[in-house]
Amino acid sequence: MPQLLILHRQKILLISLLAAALLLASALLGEPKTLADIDWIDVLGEGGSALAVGFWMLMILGSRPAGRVTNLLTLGLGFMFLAMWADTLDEFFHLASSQAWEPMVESLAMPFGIGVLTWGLWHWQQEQLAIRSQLQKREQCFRDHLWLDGLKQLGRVDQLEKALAQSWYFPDEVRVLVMAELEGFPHFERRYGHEEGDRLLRESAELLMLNLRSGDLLCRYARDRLVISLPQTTPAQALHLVGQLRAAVEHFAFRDESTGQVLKQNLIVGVAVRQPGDTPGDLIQRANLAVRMAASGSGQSLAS
Amino acid sequence: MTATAVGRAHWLEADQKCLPLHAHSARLLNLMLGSGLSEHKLLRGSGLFAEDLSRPGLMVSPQQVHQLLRNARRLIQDPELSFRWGMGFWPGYQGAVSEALASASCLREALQRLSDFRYALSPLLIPRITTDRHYCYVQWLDGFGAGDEHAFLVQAQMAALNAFTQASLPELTWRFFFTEPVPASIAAHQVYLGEQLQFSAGVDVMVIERDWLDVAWHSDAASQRFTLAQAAPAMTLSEAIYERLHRCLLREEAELPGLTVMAAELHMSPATLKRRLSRNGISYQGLQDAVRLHRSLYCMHVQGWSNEQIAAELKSGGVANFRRAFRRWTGQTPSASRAAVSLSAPMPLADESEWLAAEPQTPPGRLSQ
Repeated sequence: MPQLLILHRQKILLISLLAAALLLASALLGEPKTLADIDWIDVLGEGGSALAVGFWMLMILGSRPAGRVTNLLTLGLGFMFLAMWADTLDEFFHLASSQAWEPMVESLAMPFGIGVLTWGLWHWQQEQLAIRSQLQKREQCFRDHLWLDGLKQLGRVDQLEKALAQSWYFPDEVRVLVMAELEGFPHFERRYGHEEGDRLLRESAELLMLNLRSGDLLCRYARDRLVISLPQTTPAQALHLVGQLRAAVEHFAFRDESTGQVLKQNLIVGVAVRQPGDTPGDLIQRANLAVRMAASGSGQSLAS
Repeated sequence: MTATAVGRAHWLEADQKCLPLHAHSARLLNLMLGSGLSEHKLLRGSGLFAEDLSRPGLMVSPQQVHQLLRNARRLIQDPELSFRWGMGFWPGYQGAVSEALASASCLREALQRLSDFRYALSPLLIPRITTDRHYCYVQWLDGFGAGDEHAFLVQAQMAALNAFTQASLPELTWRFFFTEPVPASIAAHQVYLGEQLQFSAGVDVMVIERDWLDVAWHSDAASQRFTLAQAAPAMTLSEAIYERLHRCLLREEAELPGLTVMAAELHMSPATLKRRLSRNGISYQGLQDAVRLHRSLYCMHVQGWSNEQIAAELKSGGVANFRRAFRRWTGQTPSASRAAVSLSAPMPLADESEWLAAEPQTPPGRLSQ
């Protein structure tokens, strides 16, 4: 958080200066109230709100990169803070009725701040939607991968089945399904333990994702078996893509953390071609068959 | 059956602290902790505390382990957890016992050692290993009334044996039969065990062609130092109560003895036997039913008998009665079960199945060929 706050030094400085200016103006132009005149409940309520809003502002600044959305959120909260700050100062200084600027600050800064904050939140939501669609491919693999990220378990194969079912009746959409696993993974896990096994899986899955196209969907089937749906792809294209995936894994330098030694990995891939009359479940099972064939054969197979 | 065959030996019961925590359960806790849950939550209700985990030589009871499994299933709804747990069982880190298993030179030897050292290697489920002319069967019996945790334990134990034998000889492919109904997703079963899976089978058994028993496999050369004498103390534990009764019932060729007869054989009153059984989550009727069911499944699927023949064998009072009983035990009719299971073509087998390891106390190394 502190490093990120440095990014926003100017904004923090601006708001602090304005707050200080308000304090100064009130002190110079108004008369301090006597202790008996001060309504401490108001001070607590208004001052507390001002502090809370100021704290929100710092929290947002501390967790966001610099940019338009951040500027809008900060300015919005900043003006709300100033309005409440002016309100709080009101409790300490008595201003003559000729001093019209003070109620102006209060009644204008608040709606202005709220307006800017709303505008900022709208942009923030757009930003979230964009990030989500970008992350979707990654998320669908990892969201439910319990021991990799500690999130709750959802359906895994179900999720892929759902995605397949959605586009099932557009035959060009789903023509192939790919299953992949790492060669000798049980042996690896036995030798290096399940923590290292999980790390290998996580890193390999990341690598595969980098090599997939934006519409492709990578899910975990079980253990090291991954299932990849390739929409609008012919078997020939799928085989080409699969070749690239295998090459990527072959060149992947997964290192043993303790010795630094590179542990070579190979990807075994089965491609299943959809047949007339198939259900999504049939296609998944054919892909399972394909990957088993690949394991006992050349490492790559096509089941049609 | 004679009284001397049964004896008055002590039985292990579900609330006895007879299992070293660090042998199997610790690995499960380790996997669970990896999910980021607090130790406090994982241990809730088990009578264990976080500081116990680092105590060497801590013993726990089967009931405590069952509670851990219950917590695991409830807190971590991961269909792979049982398999991941079981994968690391064997050969394991249990000194001479693990070495004994690792140094087996073929499946027959490995199964013999599993049977000899089962108190250390498979403390909660009892492996019952039999062979006939064509197949070798490893059946998993619930030793301590695991209840809802039974399926989880079976998955772990089957994954353990499968992983161990495949590491030694990758060509070994078992067929798996489960009492559990078809799960929502069979992905984990498929990937950890293989494709030959049969659910709602009425029995938890792994089957492999007998020819594989004596195929030499790669064994861990480093562990040849092991001597059977070193591992012998692991065999001195008593049987679980279920195991004892099951073994008595299996010996009965004719009609199974009732509770009163059995209690007399065991030198106790029927009320005492009943109480001790229920304390372990076992009903005598359920035990008898299980023995009858397993016998009828064997006759049906391996020997290819008709319902009439099986009904006569079980003395169940006619085909209609047998059919009704079978349905009650498995949830499906005999014909549905026949259609679902394909243990190759029916084979004319006259002889009863032979024990690979007849008695739990058999000295190691003696194999019935």
